[in-house]
Amino acid sequence: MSYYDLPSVVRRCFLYCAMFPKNYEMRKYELVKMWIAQGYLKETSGGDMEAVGEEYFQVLAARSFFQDFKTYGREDIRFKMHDIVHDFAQYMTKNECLTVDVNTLGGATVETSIERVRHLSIMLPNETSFPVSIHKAKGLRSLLIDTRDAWLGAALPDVFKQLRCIRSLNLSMSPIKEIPNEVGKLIHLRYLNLVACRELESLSETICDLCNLQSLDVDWCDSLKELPNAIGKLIKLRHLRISGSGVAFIPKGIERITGLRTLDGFTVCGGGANESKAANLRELKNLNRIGSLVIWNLRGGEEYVSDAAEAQLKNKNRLLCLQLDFNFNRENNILIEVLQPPSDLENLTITRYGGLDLPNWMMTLTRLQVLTLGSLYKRGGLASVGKIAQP
Amino acid sequence: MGRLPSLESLVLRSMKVRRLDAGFLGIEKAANASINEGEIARVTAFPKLKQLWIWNLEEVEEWDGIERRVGEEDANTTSIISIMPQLRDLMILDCPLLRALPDYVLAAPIQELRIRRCPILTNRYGKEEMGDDS
Repeated sequence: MSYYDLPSVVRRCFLYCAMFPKNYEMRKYELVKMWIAQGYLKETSGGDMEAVGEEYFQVLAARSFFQDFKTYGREDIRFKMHDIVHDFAQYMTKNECLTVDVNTLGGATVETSIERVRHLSIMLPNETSFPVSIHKAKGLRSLLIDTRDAWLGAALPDVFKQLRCIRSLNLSMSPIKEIPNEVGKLIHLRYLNLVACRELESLSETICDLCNLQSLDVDWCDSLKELPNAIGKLIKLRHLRISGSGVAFIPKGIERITGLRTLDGFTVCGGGANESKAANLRELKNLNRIGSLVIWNLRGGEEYVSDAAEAQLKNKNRLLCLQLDFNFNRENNILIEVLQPPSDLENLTITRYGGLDLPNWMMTLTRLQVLTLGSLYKRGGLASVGKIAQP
Repeated sequence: MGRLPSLESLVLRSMKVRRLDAGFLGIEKAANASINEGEIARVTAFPKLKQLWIWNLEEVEEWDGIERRVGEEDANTTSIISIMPQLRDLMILDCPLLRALPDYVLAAPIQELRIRRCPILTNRYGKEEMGDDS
């Protein structure tokens, strides 16, 4: 391990990790997005910022700057930094990164250096009042708040009013019920992580004013039923994650976000109260940067075939990971044929499929590495696994 | 599926099937292709498959092997059939009626084997061998 052998662009990414508390479990896909939010990664001819971030991560991992790796599926890699490595990074950033916890709260560093802090983690147990001194950190670029205490909801409006330079905000697992309207003031915000805020019921419509937002993650917000209606205004959005949330549909206008890379829950409405507000499959037509896509509740039958065909999945040549979820209809086999993915696809999941045969395009997927077939449950459906293998 | 050249991981879960038959290996067409007399046909199904997880196929009883198929080969031609030659990780959960594993799985270079809640399999092959600690 040698810090001084690292390219300067990678050093900066490494030092950023000093913002996390010691022994904090980082996640690769979050860290890469946070690097992007800070502007550390530049698009190259060879790849997206995400690919550059992946490369830097590999450099740091290979040289043991990170350790204790755990892998949950192919994408979700979690890891930590050794205390000594963390101390070193902290030293090199010279008070730009700070963790406030019960031990440092009210201490000299918080009181005297807070104005210089750029990246801050607040880790507070219950019954600790919000450290308003952080309002002095006017140049704050990254904020991570980890608390189970309900004071957070009341403190957020002032935080948003005072700290206008924040680019990265992580409130995951906090007990907030809403995101206040003041969030719209964070015009530099690029990364908003609300994962598993399980009491969160509404996102302010002003989120749609965050014209720089690149990543919105509400995975496992199971009380959240709707996304803001004007989400199509977020034209710089690259990653929209809603899996495990209560969000029942993607609002109309998603087609405007042509740079979207991740959309992990597009639900086909097919009637019902949300139909007039929900995007149709046709809106996927121009999302040609998409790399990871999940479509829920694909309906059977002819009337949906033209919508599905219009989504033009086959032209999405960056699409690597696709899940198609159906509704156990016998006619799903007509629909699945028009949902042919590009031949570079690496990961395919098909669930609740009611057709008798797997699609004819299956054998075109010469790069497919992972195939999951699940919940093919309907009696009278697939006669045998052999049947679906050889249409 | 067996002919997908890059497939490394296959997960089958919650399916109502009685039989995992040879069809899913995808070798029939290749094995039956016209082979000149005296030639040796080499057929590999799931050439790169490393991980196979089968989960909650609660009705599945049979999982066919290929012995019978080899016996049917024409005397004038020879097929060398190789199935899942790289399989390392096999997990079978909640297949209570499954009676036996096919020959090709038993011959695979498996390093990680987990079988849970499959009483017939566990009885047949022994608890230790199956990694069943339940």
